[in-house]
Amino acid sequence: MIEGSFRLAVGYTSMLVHATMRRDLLRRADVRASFVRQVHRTGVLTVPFVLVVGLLFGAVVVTRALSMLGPDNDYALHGVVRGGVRELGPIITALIVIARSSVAIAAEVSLMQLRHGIHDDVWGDAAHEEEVVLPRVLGVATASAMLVAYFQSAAIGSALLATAWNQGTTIGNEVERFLLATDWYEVPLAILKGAVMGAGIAAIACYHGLAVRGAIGDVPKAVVATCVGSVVFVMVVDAIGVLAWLL
Amino acid sequence: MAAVTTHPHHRGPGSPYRVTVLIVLGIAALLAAAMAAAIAYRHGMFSQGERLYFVTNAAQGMSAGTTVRLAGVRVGTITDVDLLPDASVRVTLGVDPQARKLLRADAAADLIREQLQPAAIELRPGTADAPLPANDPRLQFSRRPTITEVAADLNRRLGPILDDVKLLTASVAARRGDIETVIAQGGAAARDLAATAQSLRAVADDARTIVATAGGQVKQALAEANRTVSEARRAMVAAQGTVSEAGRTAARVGDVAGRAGEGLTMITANLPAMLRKLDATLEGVNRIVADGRSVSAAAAASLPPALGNVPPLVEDARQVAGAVKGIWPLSSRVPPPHSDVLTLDSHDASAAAPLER
Repeated sequence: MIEGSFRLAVGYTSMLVHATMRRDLLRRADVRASFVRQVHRTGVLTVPFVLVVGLLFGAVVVTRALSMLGPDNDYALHGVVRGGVRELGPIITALIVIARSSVAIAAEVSLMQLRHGIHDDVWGDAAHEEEVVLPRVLGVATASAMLVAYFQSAAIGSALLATAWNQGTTIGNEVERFLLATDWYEVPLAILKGAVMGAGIAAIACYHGLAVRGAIGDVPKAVVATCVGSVVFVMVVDAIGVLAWLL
Repeated sequence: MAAVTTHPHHRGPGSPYRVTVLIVLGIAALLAAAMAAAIAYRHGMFSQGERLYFVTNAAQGMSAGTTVRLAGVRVGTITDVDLLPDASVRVTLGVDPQARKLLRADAAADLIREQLQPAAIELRPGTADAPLPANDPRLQFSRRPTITEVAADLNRRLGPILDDVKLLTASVAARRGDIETVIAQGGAAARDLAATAQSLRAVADDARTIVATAGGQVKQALAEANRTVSEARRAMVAAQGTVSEAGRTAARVGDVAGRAGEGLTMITANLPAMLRKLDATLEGVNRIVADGRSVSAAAAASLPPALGNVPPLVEDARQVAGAVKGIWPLSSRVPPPHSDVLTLDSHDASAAAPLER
């Protein structure tokens, strides 16, 4: 199991390294188009879902947490804001991306492999796997970062409105409390974390999709492996982030 | 390399997604930038702020970014924690300029560390007349004990007491028989106390009755006293009238006395003349008396024969008078002569006659 996990980790990392090393491929119009398409499908089309989840999260979770921990408790407010902005935002966004896009990417790449092979002319000069991986990794990373920003905005906005309504305070007062309870770098840090998670999710999906070799039954296996691997990856990244913050 | 455009899934630079993606990405970037900028602005990132500092022996619990509050309101953060050559620590605070104006020369900073709260610096503005110096804005510093420290202190203080309690408990357990005896005696004493309390209750009831009776009597006495007071008041009113009358009488007496004085004065003035007249009158009287003596002496010689004729004259007069009285209408007008001799009976017929009629 350890050997398998290590192999998977090396494979995921190789996907990320290939995509990073061949970023010059973005000069190609077809690769850029693939990148734009990936951003559109993973990001733009997912915005409504993320906004709904963010609104519900802010209105329900934050309000309930503050009512239980005490509205005047700075520590509680600090924890809820930081947890919501820095931790839960990227994680929830990543889970949505996993459920909606990573499995699609894994299935798409698997079918590409099965039907024509990566070397087929239909897919252009795809002799290098990077040309398949790069637009997807960058596209999902960009889309995830964007979705984190939307999630934060929706969650914080609804939390401020719900808290003000629930506690009988003003919106201005709640905005003031929020601005004082967090630090400016929390926002880009969360977006960066979302980007890293998105890139990792896409790399994992590509890895498992490219690993399919000739059997149609390999496709669902690749999809399931992508799901499990992506979730584990997200948790590991979050744990590493927490450890790095604590240290 | 085959042309990518040969595949329907591949789109060129003119992809319809491009604009949408750019717009959505741009909105996300604007939201994130606005959020970060607002937070940074509220934390004073775009303003210099006022720098204060204090020096402490240790900086546990303090780090850059630790909240600084004034009266519970966040006014800044710790910006720097620097180790000084003498192993002390200089902690620099960046605070809001408005809050800085409230600090006096004796302003102080307290480190507050509660179990469920993040560490924070609480500023005390101070009461000195002079403001905090601008050239050396140094604050006094102290640490408030945490709950853990308070608990440790309590543990240190209460530990010996708890040990003594344990010893007492063990001693009590060892002398349990004595305690039971004491408890039995205490029970008996309690019963006695209960009986005593019952007696006291009865005495209290009697006392309550007596008090009630005495209260009635007191009420009567008070009513009597009220009446007496009313009468006294009336007597005083009457006395006042009497006094007024006496005053008027005294005034009249004074008037009479005045007139008497005037009369006495007049008498005093006329008395010598009157005495002289009286003396002359007395001399005249003496002469008259002397003349009378001489006349009486002269008459004494001739009077006895004259007196021998008086009784027949008296008898004659009586007879005449009786005859006159018997004449009508005088007989009905002249009452019968009153008898000088007392009757033997106490019955007065004349007095009883009107009653008998």
